[in-house]
Parts: sequence; structure tokens; C-alpha cells
Amino acid sequence: MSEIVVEINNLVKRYNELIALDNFSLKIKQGEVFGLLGPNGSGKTTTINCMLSLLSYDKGDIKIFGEKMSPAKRNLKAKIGVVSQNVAVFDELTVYENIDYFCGLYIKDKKLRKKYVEEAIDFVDLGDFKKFYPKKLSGGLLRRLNIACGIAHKPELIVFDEPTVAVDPQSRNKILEGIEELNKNGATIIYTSHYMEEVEQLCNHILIMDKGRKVAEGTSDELKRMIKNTESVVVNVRHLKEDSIENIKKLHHVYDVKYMNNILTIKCSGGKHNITHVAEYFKNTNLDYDRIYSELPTLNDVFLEITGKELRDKE
Amino acid sequence: MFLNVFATRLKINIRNKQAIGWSLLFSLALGTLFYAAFNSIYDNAKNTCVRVAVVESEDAALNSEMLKELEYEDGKKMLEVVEVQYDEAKELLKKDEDDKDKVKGIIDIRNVEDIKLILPREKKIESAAFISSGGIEESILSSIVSVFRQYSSIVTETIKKDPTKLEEVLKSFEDETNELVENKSISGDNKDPYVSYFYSLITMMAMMAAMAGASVPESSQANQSPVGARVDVSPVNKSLYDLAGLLSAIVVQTSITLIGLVYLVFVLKINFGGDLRYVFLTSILSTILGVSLGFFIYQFGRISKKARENIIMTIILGGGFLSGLMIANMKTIVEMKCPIVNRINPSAVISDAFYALNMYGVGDRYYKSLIYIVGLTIFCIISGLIMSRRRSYASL
Repeated sequence: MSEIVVEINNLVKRYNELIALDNFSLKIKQGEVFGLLGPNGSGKTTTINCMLSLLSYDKGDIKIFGEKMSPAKRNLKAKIGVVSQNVAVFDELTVYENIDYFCGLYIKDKKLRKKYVEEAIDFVDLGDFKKFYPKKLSGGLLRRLNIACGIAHKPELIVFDEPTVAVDPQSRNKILEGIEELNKNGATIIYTSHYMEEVEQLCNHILIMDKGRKVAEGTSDELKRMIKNTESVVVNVRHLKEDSIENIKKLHHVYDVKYMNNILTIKCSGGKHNITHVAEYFKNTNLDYDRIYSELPTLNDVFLEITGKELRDKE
Repeated sequence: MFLNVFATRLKINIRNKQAIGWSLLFSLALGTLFYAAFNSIYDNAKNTCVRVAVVESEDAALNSEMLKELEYEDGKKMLEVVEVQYDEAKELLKKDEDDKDKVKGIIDIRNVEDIKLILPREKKIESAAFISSGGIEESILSSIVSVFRQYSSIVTETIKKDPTKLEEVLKSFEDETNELVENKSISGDNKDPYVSYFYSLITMMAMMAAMAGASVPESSQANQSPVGARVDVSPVNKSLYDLAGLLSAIVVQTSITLIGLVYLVFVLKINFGGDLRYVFLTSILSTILGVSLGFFIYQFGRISKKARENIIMTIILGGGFLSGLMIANMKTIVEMKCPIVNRINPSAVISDAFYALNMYGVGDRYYKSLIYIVGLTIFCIISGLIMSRRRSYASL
């Protein structure tokens, strides 16, 4: 059985009347890429901040590497790396100096630190920007510098708190590849995001949270199996009449039909040839359509079905 | 770790061109402005002889004699004393400007403990620290009366404690020697009424250093900045980390103060009077107090960053106001109504040290002020370090 790296039990955090975390619990095993998924304000960052002892909490307990976490636990902090959603670097220091400074808070040996800093720079591919000041870097490069500052000391547990917010797709892919590599090198990763695609791509264990509570937990496949929806058939069709929609609802395995903006979404539960059945219906009733395709459920569907709302606002 | 943090924080502070620029600009520009504004007035002052009426009671001949000691400054006649009765003095004050008997003011020394300076508009000037709106002659009078009050109190004290020393004291006035009763000295008897403006400038420079002190906890506490959060999750010893940051801020701010002071002394040739080494010492200690004050205030984690900034500005400006940097006799009023404020208000403590240095020279009062400065500094640093120890925050 893998060692438990992080264990949170019945955590309660209140901001006056607002309950940010409501008896929240989780366990993270060594070597996992643990995804903490939830909409904005669901309590992801609060969980992380409590875990790191930055925030005080009202109830519950937190153990890291088997020890109770507290602000004074410097031995535990030495094993943790944090990449926050806000870029945390000094504008007055160059790329190299920033990484060296923050690495120096963990690594005292100068030679070892120099080696680690060089490795971190290579890792985030900032070799050409060593002498650049943060203000001269693009948003994506700045995020990569932020990551380098958080991981240069080679921590065993790395927390990535929404590291790809406001990052271009190219840099985002680079960051995700880097995180996968860190995990391959032995680090346990905690990844918080409201981007379900990233979590699905990266994480081998996912916890979905909302309003400070755990909504569901498991692997991506396990989560999808928890819901009724197994397939959505989408048809681009114009001027569909109400009686046709009613008839489609009566097709095998169909449990929900929505028609908006000339897009018909048919949700199916079970069945292997749902798209064929729908196409046949259109053919038999001489209804013309532009396009028909099938979509497998996403984590958003999981969240939608459990909570009745979208994981994030439509972008 | 300590040296690494200190060296890097020093680099960060030095590269913060905006902060350094503003601090330097404040001292150099304001110093130049004061110099430009007062230099010509000061030159005029040196060539001005002010005719003044002195009203005394019969048993106060001693004071009149003492006042005459102040007639000459650097060999030039600054004061022409006319001894008259109060009613006659008022008549002389009312005379036309071109009348040769006209006096510019009345010094009423009938009550030794309440020496009054009466100006044409019946306005009393309580302190020499600031120029009155009446111009150069009134300022000279107020400056002289201020020194005269000191002389008078020393003589009164001598009479009470050891009358046998009176002759010695009076001789010391005549000879312009510096030895007075109870080791009091008037080596810093700089009667230049404008130098106090430059002392006020140094006091404000020192207090503005609080902003640099505030940057230390700002970059080491999670509830202050993202960098603070990064430091808070690291395994560093927070007290040592903050101490290293504080030391770097002190080095940079002290350098700025010294540059400003060197500019005032060697470029603008401001005569601070007394021993310059003590002016430099007081300026350095004051700057350290300013930095420490900012460090201390920013440790209050339960209030917002904006509120903290406002508190610092209130302490700098409000403290400056209460210490008389803006209104001359405010410090005296505070001393009468609530003296404790003058003991804990950093601006008051600093300005008092400069005042003591300027008026009495290096002596008990000056050392007492330095002890207050050092005491307040130690309080701010130790309290700040205690508060900065590892903690969790209620909110970020």
C-alpha cells in the first residue's frame, strides 16, 4: 500500500458567517497526481492554504508525511514546493537571482544550490532569459519562472494552485508536460484547477469539490461511471418541431433532450449505437440536419449532474 | 541563510529605483528649496540690527545685563536694547517706521518665569524654531528671546541651588564659554533661526524611512504579498529572515540620509552648529528608528494593507504635527497637556534630540533624547520580531 503523503480530516474553515470548508477530508498517496477540481470559490485554494498552515482553521486536522502540520514545522516545509496562482517573484531580481534566492531558503550549500538552480532553469526552459528581469518576460515565461522558483529545491510534494490561469495554450502545454515530468521523477503532485481538461489529462486521482464540500472522488473513469450520462449525441438541425423532440425522447436509452440555438443535445444512458438510432430517426422522418456527432461525458458532465451547475462559466 | 537574505535584500532595495529616487529627491530637493528660500533672508539677517524695548522690574537688573550679552553676534551688533517702562515701550512700538526711536518689539522680563516678546501686532512668539510671519526682524527677536529664556532659566536655577556660582555663570556668558551649572553647555548655541528647518527636514527624512521598514514584513508574510506567501511556506527562520531584511533596509535608508546630510553640510554649507559628528549620529539613529517603526507597524496582521499604510502616514504626518514640525508651539502644548505623547512620538523624540543639540549642545538633555530614540528603536524591533514569528492567518 502506498504511503499517505497528505491526510486532511473533517476540516472546517469559516470566514465569519461563510463556511469555506465544511468537514472536508482527503487523502493523497505518494506518487499521485492529485487533482482538486471545482468552480471558483469552491474552496480549493482555502484547502491548500490550510494544508500549508498559511490559514488557520476552525476544526479538523491535517497531516503531511504522517506528521501534524503547523506553521513551525520547518522539517515538513522543507519537503514541500508551492507554485501559487499569483506570480511570486521580486521585480528587482533577474530570473537567475530570483530562483537562486528562493532556492536558498531551502538549500544552504552553495554548490548544490547552483546545480539545482541551473536544473530548474533548464526544466522550465528559461536558459535564454537568465539575466532578464520579470517585467521583461511575457505572461507565459513569467509563469514558468514562478514554477522554477517553487520547484528548484526538488521537493517531494509539489502544490500547483491554478498555475495555468491566463496562460497561452503553448505555455500551458509546456507547463503540463513539466508537471508530468516532475511526477515521473518521483514528486507527489497536488494540482488545483477549474479547467477540467487539464485535470483530466494530468491527474490520476481527482476530487471534485463545491461549496467547501467533497462532491465526488476517484479516477476520471470512475467519476464518469458515477453518472447516468454515458454519451451525448449532438445534432445541428434547423427548425425542429416540438413533436419531433418528443419523439426523440422516446428513443431507446435517451433520458434527456435539449434544443437550443439550432443545436439538439440528446443525452443517453447506456446503449452502444445511440448515434445510429438518432441518425435513423432523422432519415425515417425526412428531417434534414447539418451535422451529427457523439460526445463522451466529461468531468463537467459529472459536476453538472451532481450539483446541477457548470464547473466554470462558458468562455 | 542570513547573509544570503541580507545581500539579496540589499540588492533589491538598491535596485528599487523608485523608492530610492523619491527618498533622495525628498531630501536633496527640499534641502535646496529651503536653502534657496532662506539664504538671502539669512544674509540680510546678519546685517540687521533690531532696536528693542526691554521692560524690567527694579530687582531684575540681572536679566537686563544678560540680555545685553546677546547684543552682539560674531562681532556684529544684532540688537539695540532700550531700557524703558512698559507704557513708554508701547508708545515706542506704535511709532512710525521712519521714526528713529521706533522699536521693533518689546521684551518684557518683569516676570523671569514668563518672559514675553511683544510684537507690533501684540503677537507673542513662543519659539525660535519657526519664522514668524512678521519677517526677519521678528525672527531675530524670537530667536534671541528663545536663547535669553535659556540663559534666564539657568541663572534662576543657579540662584536657587547655589548662588555662589552666579558670578561664574555670568562670566561664562560674557566669555561665551560653554560650562554652565549641572554640566549644561551652550556649545550648540546656534542662533541661526533657519537651521531648525533643516533639522525638521532630517526628522522627516528619518520618518519617511518607515516606508522602507514596512517593505520587510510585506515580503515575508503570506497575508501581505504572494512573495510573502512563498517565504512563509519555506522552512526559513522567520525572525532571522526579517532581521536580515531589516538590516538591509537600515543600511540603504541610512545611506540615503547620509547623502542628504552630506549635501546639506558640504554642498549647501548649512551651519548646523555644535559638533557635526553628533548631527550625523543623531541622523543615523533617527533613520534606524524610522525604519524600525515601519517594520513594527506592518506586523499588525489583522488590519488591511491599506489601513497599515494609512497608519504609517498618520504617524509620520500626525507625529510631525504634534512634534511641532508644522506649528511651532505644538510640542509645548502637547508637553503641557499630555507629555507622554512627546516621549513616544518618534518625530517628537527625534526633533527634541536635534533641538537639544542645537540649543544646549552635547549634554544631558541630548543624551536623554538619544536614549529615547534607541529605546523606541529597540522596542519596535523586538516587538516586530516577536509578532513576525511563524503563524497562520485568519484570511489571506
